[in-house]
Amino acid sequence: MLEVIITGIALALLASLCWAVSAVFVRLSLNDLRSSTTTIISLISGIVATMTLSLILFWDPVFDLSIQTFKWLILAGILTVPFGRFLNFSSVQRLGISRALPIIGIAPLFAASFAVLFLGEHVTIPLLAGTISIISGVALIVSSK
Amino acid sequence: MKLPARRTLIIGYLCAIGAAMGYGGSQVVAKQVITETEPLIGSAFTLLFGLIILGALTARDVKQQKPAPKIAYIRAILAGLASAGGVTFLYLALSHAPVVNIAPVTAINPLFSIALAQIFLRNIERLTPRILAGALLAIAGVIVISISTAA
Repeated sequence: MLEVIITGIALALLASLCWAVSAVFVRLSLNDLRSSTTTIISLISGIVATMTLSLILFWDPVFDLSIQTFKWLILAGILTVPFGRFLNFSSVQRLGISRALPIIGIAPLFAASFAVLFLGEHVTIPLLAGTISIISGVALIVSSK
Repeated sequence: MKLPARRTLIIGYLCAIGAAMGYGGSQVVAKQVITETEPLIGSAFTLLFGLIILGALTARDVKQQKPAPKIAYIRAILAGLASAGGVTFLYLALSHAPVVNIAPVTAINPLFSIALAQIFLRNIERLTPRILAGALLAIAGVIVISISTAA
């Protein structure tokens, strides 16, 4: 069980690394492209890659998705892309990066709260301390001038 | 003059909180998604539905894009591939551990961004003591979570 969770944490670190690599390319791309164009192109390339791999590796499960699963996927899509990104860009536009990012950085607290409320997961004191430490660190970093 | 500025600030703060709720909520929904299908399939369809909705919202703005060098489009494509990798790894992570463990670790994302910016965008970003302190705090947080999981 412990090894499984450590693997999960390692995979989460890999996810963060991928998003950081993506942020660097986005920043370079924004020198010549609008943010909306960059977002749409990046989404299309990501979809082509993940959908191709899905069809190669999981042909049958792709076509066996239930209506219920589609409802969850649509909700995930709304929360991840237009809700998260659109409001993210809107807040940065109005507040600037140094004010907006520390607030957006509290997302893990919302994730943990929603997980406790809707999934029945448990928050321990060390977990809470670790979360606060990460958010404080991120706030310090993004508010640095 | 003060009223519009104040309104802009309030709307900005509300947008930032909304974005945080969106990102936070998406991880909880992702946890539900991976109980019903493979993480890779979940990632692909999440991006697809996100594109459809965002495309409808930004279509007019995208049409106004002026021609740009090929390298800009290649960079946007690479950004998408890396981002899709991130979403896929997130779904895989959530298939191994609870949201309460995974969510704070993904919050370390800006730390990696700054490190990579130091390497590839040195002209734009610079490392300060405050950034270093923040990095150490964030790493300490990940270690605390890992140790608490091991205990």
